[in-house]
Amino acid sequence: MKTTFSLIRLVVISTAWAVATAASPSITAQKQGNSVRIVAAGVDPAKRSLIERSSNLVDWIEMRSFTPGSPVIGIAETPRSQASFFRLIQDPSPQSLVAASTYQPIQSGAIPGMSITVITNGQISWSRGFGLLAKGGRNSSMAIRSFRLAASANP
Amino acid sequence: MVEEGLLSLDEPVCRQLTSLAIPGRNGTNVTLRHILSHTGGFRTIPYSGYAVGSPIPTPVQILQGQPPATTPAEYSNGPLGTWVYSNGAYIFLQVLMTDVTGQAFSDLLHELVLQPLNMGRSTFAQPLPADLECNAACGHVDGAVVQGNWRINPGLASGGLWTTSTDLAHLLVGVRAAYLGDADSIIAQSTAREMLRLHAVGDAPWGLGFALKVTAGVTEGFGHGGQTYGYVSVFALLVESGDGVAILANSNDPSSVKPVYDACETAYGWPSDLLP
Repeated sequence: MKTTFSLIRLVVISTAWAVATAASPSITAQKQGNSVRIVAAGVDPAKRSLIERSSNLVDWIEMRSFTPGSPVIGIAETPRSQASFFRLIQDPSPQSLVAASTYQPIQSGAIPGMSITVITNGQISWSRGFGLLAKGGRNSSMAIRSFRLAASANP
Repeated sequence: MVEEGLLSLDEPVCRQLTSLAIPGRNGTNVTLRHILSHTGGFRTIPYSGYAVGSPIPTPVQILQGQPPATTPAEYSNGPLGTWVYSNGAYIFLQVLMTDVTGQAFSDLLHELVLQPLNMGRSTFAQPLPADLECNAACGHVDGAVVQGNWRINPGLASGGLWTTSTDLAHLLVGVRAAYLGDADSIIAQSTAREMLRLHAVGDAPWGLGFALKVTAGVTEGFGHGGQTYGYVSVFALLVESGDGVAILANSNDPSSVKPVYDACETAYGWPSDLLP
C-alpha cells in the first residue's frame, strides 16, 4: 500500500514538476516489484557525471544507464529514496550528493546528528547540519551546534 | 608561544614545567616537539572524561593518576622518537602552557587561537558554562544519550574543545593560509611549515599536531580524526587546492561518518585518500 501511495505521489510530483520547469528532465515512474523504477530523460549532460558519482553514495537507490544521451534510471526502494533521487536529478550538485549520503547513517541510528562544513579553494563553501541534537529530541539547526571535538584516538 | 620565545620546540620541557615532573626514563629529555608529534615515549591512556556531577580531577591529578582521576599515571618510558598516539602527552602540554603563562588554558587558547581565527562558537571551558549548554549537541554512546548529556573533560588539550564544523573549518583555513605565507595569519609561515612537516610515521604521517598526507616528501594535506566519549570527528584540508571538510557527529561510532567523508571526496572529485 505504501509503495502504491508513494508511486502515485511520485507521478503527481513529477507531473507538476514537468509543468513547472519545461527545461527540466522529464521523469516517469513505474512500480517494479517492491521497488519503483524511475527514468529521467533530458538530464543536463554536464551534470550526469555528478549523478553517476552518487550511485555509490546513495546506496538505497540503484542507478543504471549512464550512457551519454540515454535516460538516467534509478531503482528506488523507499519513498525517501525516491525523493532523494528526485532531488539529485533536480539539483545534482556536490552539496546535494553529500547531503544524500547522510541519510543512511542517520536513518539507521548510527548517528543521531552531524554537522558538515565543506571548504573549497581555501574558503568555507557551505555548512549544514543534519539529524538530531539528541536522540528522541527535536530537530534543530545542527550546523551551529557545538560538538565536543574528538581527538583522543583515531577512527 | 614558540615564536614569542615563551616555549621552545627542542628544549626539554622539564625546564619549564613547574607543576609536576614527567615520570619515566625520558622525563628529563622529552621536548615539545616530541609531545606534539606523539614521539615522546608516552602511551595512549584510556580516557573517557568524567560524568557530570562526579568529582573532577585537575590535569595534574590525571597525569599523576591521583584520585579523583580514574586513569593510571602517564609516564614516558617508550623509545623517544617512536610514534605512539598519546592523548596524555597533550595534557602535559596543557600544564606546561599554564605553568609558563600563569593563565587558565581555556583563556589562553581563546586569546591565542579561537578569537584570532574567528572561532566564535568554540570554547575550552569545562564544565560547559550553563549559558552554552543549549548550544551543545548531546553525546551518544551505543545509540543512547550520555548520562548528563556529555562527559566533563578536564584534559582540555586532549579532546576538550567544544566547537562547530564551521569553526573547525576556520582553523584549517587559517593554518593553510599561514603555510602559504598569508601576512594576516596568526602564526608565521615558518611555524606553519614546521607544523606540517613530516616528523614521524605512525598510523599516518604526522607533523606537529596534525596527521599529514605526504607524497614524495611533499605535504599535500593535513587533518585529524578521532573520537571522545559520545562524539566523533574528522577534518582535513588539501594544501594546494584549499579543498577540504570538517565533520562532527554526536556518536561514538567512528565508522559511521566514513561514508559521509567518502561522499565528500566523491562529490567534489578529491583524491580518494584526502584523509591523512
